[in-house]
Amino acid sequence: MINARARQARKIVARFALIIPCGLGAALPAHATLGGIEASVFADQSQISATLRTMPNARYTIHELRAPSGTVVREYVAPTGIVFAVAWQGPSMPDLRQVLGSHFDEYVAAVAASRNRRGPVSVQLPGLVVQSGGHMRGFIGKAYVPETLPPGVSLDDVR
Amino acid sequence: MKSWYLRRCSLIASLAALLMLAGCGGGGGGDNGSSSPQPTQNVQPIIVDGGPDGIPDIAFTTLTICAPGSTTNCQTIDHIQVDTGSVGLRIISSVLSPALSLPRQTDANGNPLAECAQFADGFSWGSVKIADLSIAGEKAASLPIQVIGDASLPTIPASCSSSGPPENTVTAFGANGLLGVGLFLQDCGASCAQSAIPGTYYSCPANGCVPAAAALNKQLQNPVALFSSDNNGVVIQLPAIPAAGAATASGSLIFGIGTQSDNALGGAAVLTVDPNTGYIVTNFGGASYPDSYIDSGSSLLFFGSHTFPICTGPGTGLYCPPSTQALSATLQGINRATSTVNFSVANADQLLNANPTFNAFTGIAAPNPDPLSFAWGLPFFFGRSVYTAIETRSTPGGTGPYFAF
Repeated sequence: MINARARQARKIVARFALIIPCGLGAALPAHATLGGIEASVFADQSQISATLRTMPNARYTIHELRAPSGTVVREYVAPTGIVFAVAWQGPSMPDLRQVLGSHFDEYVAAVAASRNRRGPVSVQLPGLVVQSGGHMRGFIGKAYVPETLPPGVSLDDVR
Repeated sequence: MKSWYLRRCSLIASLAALLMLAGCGGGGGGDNGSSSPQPTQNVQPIIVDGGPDGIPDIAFTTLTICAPGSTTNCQTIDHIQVDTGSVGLRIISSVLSPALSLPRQTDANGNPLAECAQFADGFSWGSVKIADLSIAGEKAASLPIQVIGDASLPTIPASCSSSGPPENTVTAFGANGLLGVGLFLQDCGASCAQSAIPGTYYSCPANGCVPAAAALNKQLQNPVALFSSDNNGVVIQLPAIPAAGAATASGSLIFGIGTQSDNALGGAAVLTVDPNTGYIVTNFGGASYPDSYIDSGSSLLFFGSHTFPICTGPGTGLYCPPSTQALSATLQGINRATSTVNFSVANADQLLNANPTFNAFTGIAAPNPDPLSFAWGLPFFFGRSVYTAIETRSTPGGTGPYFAF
């Protein structure tokens, strides 16, 4: 199990990391998606050679990236410009390091620390929820930062 | 564990000797001419005992691999997880004897082929090599297998390591290997043969691995499909166990469906699956779960997302209803055939606290991230014969792919 202090430290580092791409703009590789700014969606698009479709609605905007493998990643952007959730579905796993951004290491550590089962994963940490399921030929999952969910948005909307 | 392992070795050795005698009938003692031909021994024991990591509800078996064409350069390996939810044999490199010196699978350009095996909870990276597999009396010759954690490969490509936690050691994998005997002939299939898909197959020249297409016959194969008989699917039989669970459970992995007296379908309901995804439909609690599957390699029942409270003790992340819930669901195939399943969900913290050394449970469930999916993992298999038929293969219950129980 991850102890609370280590988790807190990691969270602070994660928060700090988010500020850097904003400050230095394109000088650094934009590598923050979940919890990052809307522009990071386009970094993702380039990273996975995806086609992009944008679907705005009253409460948030969905950017849908379709990789050549057929795997679709949907990134949910709040009116504040922050990516508050991502969801994926398809025959292979998406690049979670890119999609989860600064949260990736936290996710990997949490899964590795709670190996009491084999199969779908639900990771619930302060500031991060990741759910990953399916098997070869059919994967599905989502991740979100609970605190950044815009008012009135249900998690059932994220898929 | 050790004595069980040795017993298995000697049984396999004597079976191998028996097979060699049968195969060499023309060569001459003549004293075996009078006996009628024996059916192939098609039953291999399985055990649910926690394995190297002590994870509940994982079924393990033992098998023997040999250098291609050899009957003497062989190794018997225990605690290989039996998985009807995947295809192909995968072995952790650290348990493989270097003396086997298995040849590499190469791509069309002669470069070594490697694979990234993705799972919902992580990935395994390793080279594709060729081996002969013997299990019970069955043999799959020149089988492409994945050698997980093979240190001779260049660095793990980022497109593989970025799908989750690494599962490249026995401890991280929870088993010495994985025997995928699922619905399909290859693990990836046509999509990986047509194009290079990051996170699947890789071509590995010395300067680094890059995603590459892999022809169907170069991919990991369903070993059962390569057997000379009993090659249309498998049956898994595990005994019913008490509601409190059991320290261990022992059952059988039977090869073939309707090929011998021990694998007849009987009255089992045949539920055909979606030929692309392997999914069936579960109807439960007034809702439909069209992305459902039966999978010995998932260790629990996975359904819903906020159906019950989540455990906080030893069952962290699992369901913890205040008391055991007796439930019922109807499973439906693409062929509209249905079968009702009664199951229970117990408080996992209470179960695990009451008997911390138990490894087999029927009543443990956990949330499923896919709101449309009900994964019937190993708890479903206790007290049943569960049939998994391979795509394109004919059986007395019709052509695979299907599940029956």
